[in-house]
Amino acid sequence: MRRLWCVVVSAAVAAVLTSACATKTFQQINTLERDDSPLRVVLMPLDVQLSELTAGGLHEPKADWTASARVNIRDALVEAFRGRGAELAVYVEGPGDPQVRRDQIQLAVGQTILVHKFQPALKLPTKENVFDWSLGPKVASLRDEYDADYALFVFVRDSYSSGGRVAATVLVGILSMGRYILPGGQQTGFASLVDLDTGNIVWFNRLQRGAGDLRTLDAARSSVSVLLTDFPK
Amino acid sequence: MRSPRFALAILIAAGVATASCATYEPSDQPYQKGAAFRDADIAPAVHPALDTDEAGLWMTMEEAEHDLKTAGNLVRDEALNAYVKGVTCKVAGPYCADIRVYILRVPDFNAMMAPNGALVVWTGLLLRTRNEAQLATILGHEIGHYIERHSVERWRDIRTKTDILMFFSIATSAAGVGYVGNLASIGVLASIYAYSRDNEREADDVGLKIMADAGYDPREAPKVWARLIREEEADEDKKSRIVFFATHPVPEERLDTLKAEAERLASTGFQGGIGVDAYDAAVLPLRAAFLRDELDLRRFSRTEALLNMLIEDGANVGELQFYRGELYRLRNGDGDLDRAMEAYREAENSDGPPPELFRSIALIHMKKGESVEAREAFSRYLALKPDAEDREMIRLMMEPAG
Repeated sequence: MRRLWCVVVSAAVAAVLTSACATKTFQQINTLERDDSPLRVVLMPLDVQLSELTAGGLHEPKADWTASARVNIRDALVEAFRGRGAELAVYVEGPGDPQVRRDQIQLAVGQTILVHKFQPALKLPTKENVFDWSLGPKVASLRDEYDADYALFVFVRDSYSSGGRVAATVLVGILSMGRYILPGGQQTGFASLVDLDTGNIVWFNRLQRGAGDLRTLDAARSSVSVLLTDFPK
Repeated sequence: MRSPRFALAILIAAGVATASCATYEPSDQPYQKGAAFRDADIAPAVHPALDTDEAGLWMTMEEAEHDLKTAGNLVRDEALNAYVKGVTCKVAGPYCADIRVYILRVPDFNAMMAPNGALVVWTGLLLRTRNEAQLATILGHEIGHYIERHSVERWRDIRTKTDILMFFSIATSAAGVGYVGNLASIGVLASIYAYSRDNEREADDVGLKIMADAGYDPREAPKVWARLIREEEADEDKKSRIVFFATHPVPEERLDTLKAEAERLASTGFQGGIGVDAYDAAVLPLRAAFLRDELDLRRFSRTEALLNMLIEDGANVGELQFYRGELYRLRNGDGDLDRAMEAYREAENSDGPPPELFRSIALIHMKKGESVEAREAFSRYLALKPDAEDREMIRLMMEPAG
């Protein structure tokens, strides 16, 4: 069973490494361009999924938790933007929507940023001091449709330990006399703000927490405020 | 050390027990129309309650289905989609509205059913089934997975087994008998695999019943497997095992079971249709593209066996002979150019060879240095297809050298 301990140890090390930097923000701009009218941002359909971590380490997707988390995150975001004097318009999906494609591009670009900007070993030499990722100019249709300047994309995966997982964690802790920690539930994700004139990602933030609960509005507010760390003023 | 080992023995026993109680045995009850639907695990038009693990699986799949709808290799041909959807509905009966069909352009024999009723069919399957009854066999099998809710059954099984494995690993590590733990984990993994094979056996059985219910001849069902086995046996390099076989019961065993079941059904005086014309009308217009995809895989011995079987069936033989010639021309081994030319001649004398036949004939003449014959074949190609995309290049090739 050396292998199990090896997995446990590396997972624990990974957990410690990742939790050391809870969020890290990459910004292309610090100030949103504003004219006299209040700022309008379209909130794109939330890519959120909540799951339960089973004792054996599988993620079981939870439809009910996910449904409430989507509502909570949306409400918390609307509040947060209102607090900043901006207006958040929630995207409404229609038939024959190009939305699916946009989601796929956003996810691909977002994951590329996570891998190549946030993982030191995988940094790209050509992207050393630049942050020039873009979804392309086709997003401009959103600007006209919603009379908005920016679009906000949010991607969150959140997991919670099941009773069995907690029991396993305690057992491993006791038997190893505290040397090994089984990883528990994790909140990970990212948010990106896209300029609807150019399609450029003007702000990007990663979310990585070992705590938090998106199933209640109060806790979702706290996750949203972490997600919006260093959001351009 | 006695008590940990005792605990260990109990855990192993528990693992084996959960692994073996899942075996599926087809019933020996006489055939009754509609029995498969009456015994189904999920009722038509039912969605799982939001707070269940099943709803979680559906949610995950719904998102994947979004991607499926915009997949680059989704076949959008309306006639083919309407046809496959129509056969699906015939077989699915009351579940018609619960199943959504997606045809993907992938040159291999496969079909998959998602827990929420999204059914994926690969074009390599449509190239290989030869009539509506054979297609209905596979669709029936996949619908069987849906109405028996195999996805959630399998998910629960895997979750239970990985949970056991976790506590088992903790126990064996504590007892200092790690190697037994490793053996046990192999046992559990094997049973996860075997469990899915039992699902497959059940889906085979349900599929056969509901395709027969829909009025198809059950004796066509084993023929699907017989043809796949023949194709795989022809595979000289044995490097491209048929995907469908990897997760399914041994094809020979499956073939025998299906044959026996189909004969049993047929012996009750059951009469069913086969549906060749409708199938050909929907699939043949797109078959050239499917054959081209198949050739692109460069698994020549398998494709040759497949083409020979299709030629025996005899629909659009000119097209099939042309692709057999293409196979030899691309393989380009000893004597292959002559074999190709022979196949091209067969194509010329059969139904429906494409204009590209003469371009290929010209290319072989060029290789052999027969420029007069090459020019003649090229001009036949251009005469048959004056707006060919490569016409300028062909004209350039037709110019006398020097």
